[in-house]
Amino acid sequence: MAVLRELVVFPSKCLRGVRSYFLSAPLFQNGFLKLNESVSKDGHALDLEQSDTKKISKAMKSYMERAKIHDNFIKQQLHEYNIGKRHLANMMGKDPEFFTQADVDEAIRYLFPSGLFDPRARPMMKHPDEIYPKRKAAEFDVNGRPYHSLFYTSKPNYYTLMHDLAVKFKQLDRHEDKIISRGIQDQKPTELFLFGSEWIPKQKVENVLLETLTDAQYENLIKTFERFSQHPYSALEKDFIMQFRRQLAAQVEIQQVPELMRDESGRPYMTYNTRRKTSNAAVKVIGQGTGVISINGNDIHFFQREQDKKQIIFPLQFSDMLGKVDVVATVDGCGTSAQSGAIRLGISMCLRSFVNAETIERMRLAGLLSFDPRTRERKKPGQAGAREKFTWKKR
Amino acid sequence: MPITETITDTFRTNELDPMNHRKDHDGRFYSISQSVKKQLFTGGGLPKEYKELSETLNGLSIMVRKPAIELITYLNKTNFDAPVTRYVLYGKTGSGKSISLAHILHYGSNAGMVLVHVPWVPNWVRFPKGCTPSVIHPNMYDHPIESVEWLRHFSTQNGLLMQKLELKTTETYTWSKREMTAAGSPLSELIDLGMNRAKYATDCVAALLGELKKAAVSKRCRVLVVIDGFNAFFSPRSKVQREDKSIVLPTEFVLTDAFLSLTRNDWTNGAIVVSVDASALPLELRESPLPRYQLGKQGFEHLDPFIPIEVPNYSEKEFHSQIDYYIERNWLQQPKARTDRGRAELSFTSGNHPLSLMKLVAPY
Repeated sequence: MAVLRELVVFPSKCLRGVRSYFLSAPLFQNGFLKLNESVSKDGHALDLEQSDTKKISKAMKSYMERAKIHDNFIKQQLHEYNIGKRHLANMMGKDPEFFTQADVDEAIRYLFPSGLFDPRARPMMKHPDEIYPKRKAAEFDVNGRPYHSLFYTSKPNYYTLMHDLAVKFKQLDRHEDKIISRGIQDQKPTELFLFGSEWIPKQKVENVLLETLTDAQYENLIKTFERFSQHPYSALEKDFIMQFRRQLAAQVEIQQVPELMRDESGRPYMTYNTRRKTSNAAVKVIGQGTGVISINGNDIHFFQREQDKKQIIFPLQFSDMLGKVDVVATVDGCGTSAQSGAIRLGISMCLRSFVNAETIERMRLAGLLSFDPRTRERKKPGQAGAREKFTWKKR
Repeated sequence: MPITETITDTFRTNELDPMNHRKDHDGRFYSISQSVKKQLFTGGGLPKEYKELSETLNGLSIMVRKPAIELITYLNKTNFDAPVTRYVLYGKTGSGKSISLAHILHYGSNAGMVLVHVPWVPNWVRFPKGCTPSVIHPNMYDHPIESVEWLRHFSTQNGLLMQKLELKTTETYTWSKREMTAAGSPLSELIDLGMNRAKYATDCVAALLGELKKAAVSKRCRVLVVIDGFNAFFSPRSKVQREDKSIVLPTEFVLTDAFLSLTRNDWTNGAIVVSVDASALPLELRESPLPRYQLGKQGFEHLDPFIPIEVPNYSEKEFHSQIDYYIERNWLQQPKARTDRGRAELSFTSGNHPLSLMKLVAPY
């Protein structure tokens, strides 16, 4: 069934009207196109009974009906969602007024425990906005006249955006000229605010614009944005640009390095529990040491293979802590490779508390602080192994 | 390395006589001359890889370590009128027990003691060259070839000393209707008989050991018994099989009997130094390197009371000394290995374990 999310459409004449790009209000709000603030004007567009005596084509009629049905559907879903939220709050014994989406998620997880692997397959209860895809509302009126001036480009929002960029670029140039003409020499153009983020991918742009783009169109858009953001005064349009950028994960998660603990004799130490494949390791690194190592009560020769010993020594050597700290580790499960890998990660994580920030960064770049998520791949039916197939016979 | 060369390195010592080795020689190498090496170790006594390495590095140099120093101190202070003290060296495989025994052997040789040295007992238990049922002792087994070899080894080690001592047999040994060794005949005759007649060699060994015991008690000589891998005498398995494929236990060997009688503390004027090693026993009995576990009930009861001496991994000083030696001999050729970081890595990866270090540093 076609699902429409009702949108308000900006009347075409307002597009070229008074619109200041230097206002704080961004062009796109809440991830969807909101070109019109006035809702009331739309009322008539959907009211079939009060329309003109002019004949409406069947296609038009069915289009209007579909829009209305969808509109009602979404309203109904929203109503049910809100009622459902209150029911859930009652069930969970919480206050319905302050029942947030996070609380809803937790309640669903509790009431409908699921062992399914993919989070998207598990039961969920979310706001209809998040479930039902957004779609453009009526793009033309009862008489079939489109509201958007660029409607016949078939991608009005995309081309609007491109035009906007061009217009804004010219405005920034004019601003720059004004600055120069006023002789404000010391006004430095603002720095790049693009660090730590990247342009949103094609899919996301399509979601924002509610139109499908070809790869060439997307690339064109990005190139235009790049050119735009390279203008010295582009920071004035920062909010506009940032709507189309997303933060990179590494900048957002900065892990807190735990403080060193002290044991009875006053020696600093740090513990960490890790795993690799199915083996678990509990590692304790004790400062003011001489390089004593104990794995499950044995010395380094617990691992007979040289490669396993090298795994253990790597973080200590890399951070120059060999012979300065003692290591006590217990490990079980899986094989020697996984065990030594788990201990290596444990030692690296513990050493973070002993070394300076620069060394931690170097360790991160060396891959010492990354958890190895690889696990044994499942054997599939109809195959000999995870990837290996049975012998293929031509006949 | 020639003895006349002046030694300035801190990892070497000038003191070439083990009788004078004391605590401050700990961690230092002393060299053993070719002639001494030939005399003492031709029949065995140095581990194979160690021996080959010493030949590559142009001279046998042994590190003076705490267990050997401890033993030498005890031996120097021993009251030889009291019953013999038994010392048991124990430690992980590859921690340096055999080398310490070799050091003690050199000491004994310099101290003028008669050396009764078994290089590696498991050779008799696990790789016998042909055991035959004994004629004299029912239900027991001879080692004809090994006994001949051992007698040869004994005479090489103690050749000159035996000539000087001129020991005589105290009783008559009848080998067959026509062959016998009368009482009062020189021991060298007994040894020669054993070396020539493989059939009677095992019993010659037994007889020789008995004679030496008596000679020691009567103060005609001082005997130092050095046995490596003693716990193999009490191993639950051997490679010797009867006709019905049943296994002959080592306690059913004539040689075992002989050496066990020698290692009893019912004689004086001697010392017994023995080592127990996990590799002397089958795989399932290698859990612990400690003497009680390695000797088993029978062995422990035989040797009890004894003085256990642990042979540990390298101390930091000993480790650096070993690395210095390897660097000086140009065995460690990587420039990175010669740095502090390199040393730390070697120490860590080998766990300061002597054998592991030797293997780690080897190019093969």
